[in-house]
Amino acid sequence: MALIEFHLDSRSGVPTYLQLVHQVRHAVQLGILRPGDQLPTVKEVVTSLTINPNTVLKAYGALESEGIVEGRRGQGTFVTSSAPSPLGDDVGKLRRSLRNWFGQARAAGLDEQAIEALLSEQRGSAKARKVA
Amino acid sequence: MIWLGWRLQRTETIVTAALLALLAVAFVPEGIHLANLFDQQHVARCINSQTQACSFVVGNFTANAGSLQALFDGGWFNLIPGLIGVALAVPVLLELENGTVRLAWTQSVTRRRWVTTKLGLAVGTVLLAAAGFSLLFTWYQRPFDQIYGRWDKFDFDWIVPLGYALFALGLALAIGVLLRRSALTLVIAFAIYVAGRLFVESWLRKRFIAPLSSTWGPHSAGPNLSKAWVISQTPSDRAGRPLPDGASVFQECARTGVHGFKGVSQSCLARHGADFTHAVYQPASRFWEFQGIDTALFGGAALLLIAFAAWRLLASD
Amino acid sequence: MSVALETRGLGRRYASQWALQGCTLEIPRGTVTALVGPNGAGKTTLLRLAVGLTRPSAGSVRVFGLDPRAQAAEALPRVGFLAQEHPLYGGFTVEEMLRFGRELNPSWDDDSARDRIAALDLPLKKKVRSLSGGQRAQVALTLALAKRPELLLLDEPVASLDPLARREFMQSVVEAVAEHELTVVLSSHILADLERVCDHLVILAHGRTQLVGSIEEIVASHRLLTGPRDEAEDVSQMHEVVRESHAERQTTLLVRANGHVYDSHWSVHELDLEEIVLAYLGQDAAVRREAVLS
Repeated sequence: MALIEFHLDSRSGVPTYLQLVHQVRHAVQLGILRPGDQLPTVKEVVTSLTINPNTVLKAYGALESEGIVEGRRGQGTFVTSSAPSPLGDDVGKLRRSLRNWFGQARAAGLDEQAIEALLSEQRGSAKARKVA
Repeated sequence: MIWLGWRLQRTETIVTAALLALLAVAFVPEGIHLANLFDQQHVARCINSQTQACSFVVGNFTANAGSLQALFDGGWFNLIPGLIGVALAVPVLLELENGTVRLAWTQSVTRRRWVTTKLGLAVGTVLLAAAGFSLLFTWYQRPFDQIYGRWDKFDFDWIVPLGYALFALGLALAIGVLLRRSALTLVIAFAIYVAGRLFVESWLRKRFIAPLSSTWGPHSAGPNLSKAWVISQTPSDRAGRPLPDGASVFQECARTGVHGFKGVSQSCLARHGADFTHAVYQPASRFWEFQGIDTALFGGAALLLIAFAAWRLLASD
Repeated sequence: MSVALETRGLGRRYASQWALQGCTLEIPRGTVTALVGPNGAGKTTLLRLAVGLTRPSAGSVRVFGLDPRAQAAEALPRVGFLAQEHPLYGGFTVEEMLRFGRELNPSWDDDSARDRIAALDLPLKKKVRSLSGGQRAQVALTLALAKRPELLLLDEPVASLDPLARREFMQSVVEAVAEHELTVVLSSHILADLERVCDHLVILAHGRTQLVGSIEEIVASHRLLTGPRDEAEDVSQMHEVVRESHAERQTTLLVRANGHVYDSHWSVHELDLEEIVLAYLGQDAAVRREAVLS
């Protein structure tokens, strides 16, 4: 039985392999996947999603080059010990502060689109700051 | 591939075997009965004798022939080799029509092997069935052949049924690879088979080898035509020319004699100057040659048709 | 041999009509290629030429370097083919169909065939003609896969199936690809779902190839450009225009980009695969119209 299950959003515009990469990263960050755990085999993913095996190989390859997973010949793909550790308490704190922020934004009169625009703007600059 | 070939013609083989079994059930008991009668009544001794007593013995025997002979005489059994032939073409026709050839030709066997096996099995089965048919009837007819000669049931004797059945098979295959529609193919093939048989029987066969002819007068016995194939026998003048009013002369001189046998008054004919007889015939001795020619004709045509079908299948797209 | 299927100037004519013409392409090993195009585009003809059912009228076709017709004995065991109507012997039981496969294919893997049939809950003793469309398709696919081909050609394999049967069929195909490094070419006139399963694309229309390549590269290189009409000429000279449409002041160009588009007057949009394919299929109509008018 595979440890996690993937799902695809075919309308999101995000390439399939990236969606798989994101889902593995999230699972690791949330502690669902721990170092040493095995990712679903290519065949398992292909069977459950009916996608091209090369797509799965590409996703696992990208994760491997990020250092999150490693492929062991003849055995499968496993989460490495150097994978980013789960956020744990931090997640709870972040969640609470987000809830507060949303409350404040709505009280200030921002509608959904304005909030979305604000989020995109800050997300973009956060990424830029990370790269720099 | 042999298993596959058999499996695909399983139904047709069973139907053909059932047909032959039915014929055997009808004819074997009767045939045994007639063969026994033939021996018990010592008919063989009387065949070439001209005595009244012997005529009676022979006549008595032939009267026992029964209803099966009547069926025989109707000529309907001539259709059976045709049915055998077209039946064994059906598996190939169906494969062409519903596209399963594309399944068979994209496995790992070459097309050549497929064609050879399928056609080979069809030909083999047809020959076997036709041989069974011929065996049955040749055996059944033996007493009558001794009386009337073998020409009488030429079409059912010895090897010609094999030629007929193969001919029908060849027709169905050759037409089938062109039309690719089974029902239509079977109808057309069978029709051509019947037409071909009729043509040969009514016109061509007597011309295989130029027939003999003979003219003889009332006081000579004439050639022994008892076992020959008499193509025509008419009263004629001395030179062998038929009389212009021959039919009416014959009728006038016909007499019903003792024991109910019909005859002709020689003195009456002599008065009309019609007491010569002219016969055109194929002698009994030519029977085997004719069997060979007939089989070569139909069998040869069959082989050409089958080869054509094989060629089309190998080259088809 | 890294190329599974290769054609050079391949053509096939029926009477005076060319069903396929000037087809030159290479399908690399290990790919899953979608062969798309409208009905009558030549997809079936191309697949039949590849498996040796049909002879070329012009050009050549090779599978793993072999001529599928002249070298059928060597080529056929390596190629699996599934014709559009899923031909099977209606009067055979499923078990007899497996025997058929076993007898006609020396490389037949009977155990995996039986496992597959069992896993799909297909009754061995049932006659093929009493199976549903989806079940027939799976039996036909089992036959094609159990001979362990290296190349699998599927002609409109799911056209006649309901959505569930379609999904299950494609699941079987991608599983086989994952397990055995199979190269697949599947033709379809339905575009949906192809992007998930396929990584290569061949577009056929009116017997000619319109576009050949990896889907990733195709999606990455095609762009929709919108900009001022008077600049349209310059832009179309820089990039390969697939489709264009003009309003009074504005032009929309669907291009295969030759490098980046920097002009600030032009907005650049990405496209999904379906839009790109439709543009190539529609392009033909535009070309024909032009030919008629000039």
